[in-house]
Amino acid sequence: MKSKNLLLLLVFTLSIAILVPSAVVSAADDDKLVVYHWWTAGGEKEAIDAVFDLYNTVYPDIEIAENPVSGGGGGIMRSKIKTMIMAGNAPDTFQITYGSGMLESWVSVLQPIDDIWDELPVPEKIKEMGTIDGHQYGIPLNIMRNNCLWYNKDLVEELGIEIPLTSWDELYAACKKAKEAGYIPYAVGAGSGQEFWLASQIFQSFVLSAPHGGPAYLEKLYNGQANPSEDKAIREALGAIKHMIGEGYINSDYAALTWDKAADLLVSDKAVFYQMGDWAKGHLTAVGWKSGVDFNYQPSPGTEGVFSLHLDCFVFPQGAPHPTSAKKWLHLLRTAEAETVFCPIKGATPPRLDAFTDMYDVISQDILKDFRDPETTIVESAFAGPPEAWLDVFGRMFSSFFENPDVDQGVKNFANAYKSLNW
Amino acid sequence: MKKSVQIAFFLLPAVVLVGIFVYYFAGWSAWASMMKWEGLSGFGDFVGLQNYIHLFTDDFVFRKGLTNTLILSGAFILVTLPLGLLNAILIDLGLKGKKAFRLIFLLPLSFSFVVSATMWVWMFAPKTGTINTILRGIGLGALTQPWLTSSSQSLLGLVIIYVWQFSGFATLVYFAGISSVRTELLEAAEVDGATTFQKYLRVVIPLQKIPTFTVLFLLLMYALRVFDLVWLTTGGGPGYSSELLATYMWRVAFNRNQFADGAAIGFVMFVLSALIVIPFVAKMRGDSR
Amino acid sequence: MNYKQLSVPVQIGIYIVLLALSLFYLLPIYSLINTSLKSEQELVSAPVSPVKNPTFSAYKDAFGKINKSFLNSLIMALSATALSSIFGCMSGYIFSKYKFRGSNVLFFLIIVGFYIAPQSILIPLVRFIGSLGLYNTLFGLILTHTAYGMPITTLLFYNYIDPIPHSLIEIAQIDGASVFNIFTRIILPLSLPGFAVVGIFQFTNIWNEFLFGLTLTSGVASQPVTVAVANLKGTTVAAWNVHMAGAFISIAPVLLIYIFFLRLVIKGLLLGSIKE
Repeated sequence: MKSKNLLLLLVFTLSIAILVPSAVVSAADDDKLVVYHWWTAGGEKEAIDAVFDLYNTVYPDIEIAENPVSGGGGGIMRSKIKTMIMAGNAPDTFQITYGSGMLESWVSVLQPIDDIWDELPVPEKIKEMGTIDGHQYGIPLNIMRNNCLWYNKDLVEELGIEIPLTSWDELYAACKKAKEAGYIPYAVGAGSGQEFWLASQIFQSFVLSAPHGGPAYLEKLYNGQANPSEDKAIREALGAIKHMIGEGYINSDYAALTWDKAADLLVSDKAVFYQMGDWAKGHLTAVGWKSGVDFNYQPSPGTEGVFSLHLDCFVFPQGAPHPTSAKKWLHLLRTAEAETVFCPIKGATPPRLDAFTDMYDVISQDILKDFRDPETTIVESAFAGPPEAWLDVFGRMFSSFFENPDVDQGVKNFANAYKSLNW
Repeated sequence: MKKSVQIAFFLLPAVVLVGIFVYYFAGWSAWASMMKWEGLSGFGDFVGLQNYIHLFTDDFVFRKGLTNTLILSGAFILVTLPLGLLNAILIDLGLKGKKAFRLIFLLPLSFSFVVSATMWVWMFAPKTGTINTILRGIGLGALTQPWLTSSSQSLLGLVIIYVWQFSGFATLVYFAGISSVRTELLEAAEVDGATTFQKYLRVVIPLQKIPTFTVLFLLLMYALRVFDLVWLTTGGGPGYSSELLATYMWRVAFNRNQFADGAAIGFVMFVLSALIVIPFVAKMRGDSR
Repeated sequence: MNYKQLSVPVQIGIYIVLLALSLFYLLPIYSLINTSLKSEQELVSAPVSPVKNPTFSAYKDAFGKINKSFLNSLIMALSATALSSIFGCMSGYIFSKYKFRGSNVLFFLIIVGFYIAPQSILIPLVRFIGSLGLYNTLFGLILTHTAYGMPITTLLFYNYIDPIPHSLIEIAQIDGASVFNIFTRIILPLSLPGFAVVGIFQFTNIWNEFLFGLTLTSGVASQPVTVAVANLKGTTVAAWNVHMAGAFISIAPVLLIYIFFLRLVIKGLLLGSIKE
């Protein structure tokens, strides 16, 4: 009978429907380490792979289940982790940026790791940044300087621009020269979900160098103690950005470019300056440029002696399914060896004061020198100083401001956005 | 076995699943939206309607998301309804190749939003995009647009994508509606000397109330809930220019850890869809009795 | 209607409109395929112009990255389609053939569920699936898609079964057939064509779904192909040819269904939206 056959087929399909998934799902997971991170681009991927290799050499019996989730400056991975934690499925360890606000946003789902942290030989400031209610929660792996202005050496020479630029006026004058010569003075790339660069790079560098701004103000701003509708620094920084946009110093297609495409404008001799954290060096060298030869950096104009810092770290969440593997991982990360394996490949610099320095290029050496100089003022960056929501909230706010650079409206929107963080 | 027990057994999967996954969850969201729930740790105190008051009075991005959702839905429907009707009439004229055209109009409906988003980001890219490149190629370089990367055009871009994706559905429903017009009516019109154009205008189109109603409500539903298409094209930007309720809900909950606000936005969407759908289903069921 | 009444210039005019419309619908699809066939060099040198040296290397790359998810989607969509169809047939049958007190209200409450915006239940859904231990499993996705399929499968089967004459049921009842017997002997054989319509409707919907896949999975073990394709978009190097190739692979099954079973697709869409 035809209908009977069809019925049989249906029952068959149903049983497959029920049996197959359960077979696929049940895989043994005894000695495993479930890691989430967002390093997928050239350079950074190889760097974290090298650390995984090191882990596998020391603990050959532990299988690493690695889950790279790219995008949004780690934001996409962090959203993923939130749904995992909500579902009671925390991983063993994951990457977040290291700093007081970011750790504060996550601390309720993390376990303290004071015993692993122990006496990590890093500057006191770093320890302070990661201490929440007297406990440590993350092992930092690499440091990053945010206030870097990169420049195309040939073009700067050709235009006769004197480096370093140390004030807004000098920056404006240099941009004017570049503009008149037909170049893009100041490349920006903040498209495709990367609006956060506008807040974390452009705004931050201008508020750090604003007459009423500076490191102390930035700290206040990131701690929730500022009053943006009244504070002069906000108005000054927005005014400076408005000037940069209004004079045509910023490429008009910034909203269509990702950060690396904007960096490429330097490489193709189209743009002169580029504001970005020191990870830009990794990209510039990856596309074939030589550190200190084809390009170089200076502290963002007006931020000399300031080191806008954040770090990448790994944390130990509550409910980690393989706590022993996770602790071994964190123990490994705190060693100078792990930093030495990771940092040079990533183009980054090591946080430990006793880490070797020979294998780094001129720019990293220079950054390291500033970092270890006791005269340097270290201040937390937008990536981890303020609460996690900062990047999303202010990325949007500045994306709106760049489209319509009206300072009064901008201050209002800034104050609104600031309030929405519910300090 | 008693008949009522058997009936219960047959209804069990549907009732249990819908009961939990729709009504229990919606109730849970409603409840969560009245708690203080910030950060990853879990609930705080009961705060009543405070989260809603905050959203409607304090949060201008939420209000922007609400208006954008309404503007997008309105514009999308205003274009899709006439276009769907036009498509259906053109197919109904019965020219050669009508089956091929019908497939072509329907094809976009088969694309997942993820794939549509990928394609349209490529189409709209300001420098290397298909549309601007073609415009430059045929000497209309002055007409190139920033499309999705500008706050004044991002919603327009989304409307174009929505129309592309869904107008096939409108075409389909209208075509079914047109096909069911009784031939006597058309013949009568013909006897009165009506031209083809007049037959459509006087006989066919006035009879398309039910299809119009159907398309209108189903498209409204889609316009309200679509998330992936927007999230993967404009992400709600630039600025707040294309923020919708669906994207803002995700942003507030999973990017900013304001889960109670996220639940509240979700519940606002639940109420909006209920407001649209209950009259619709009631009318559809009523008509069929 | 009859096109012979139309004069030739009018017909030509209509064709021009039809072709213009087709261009609108097909240009993005052409663009997708065109890009996916390009090598990296050609993509950089001539991103938009028609492909000169077509290569399948992007497809090879993309397939290597999404094949596991493709399989996940296949298992997920087939299983959830089968389960929701059979459950929907059961409840559609009862609502059509056995009226009881409150059955209309219950039926209404169930089909209204189809129209609920998924965002409004997202957070409790994640917690619930997690509490069952089904987070990041295909089972979790199958359960979710089955559940959210119930309203529409119930409605579709109701519309399908309703025209079956009640007298058939009554005769069987007089012969002493139970609810279950009538289902297997009369309803199921008569609604088998309905399974094709509902199955296609469900399969295409579930296959294309993204938000549940995004929130209920956290890795390759269970991630559906839509999520895998979205992830092909890297942060830095925009390998658009690979992204497009992956996108095309991911919709191939649904595209084939549309091309070869258009009649059934249309039937499902219409049954789901209006009364026949």
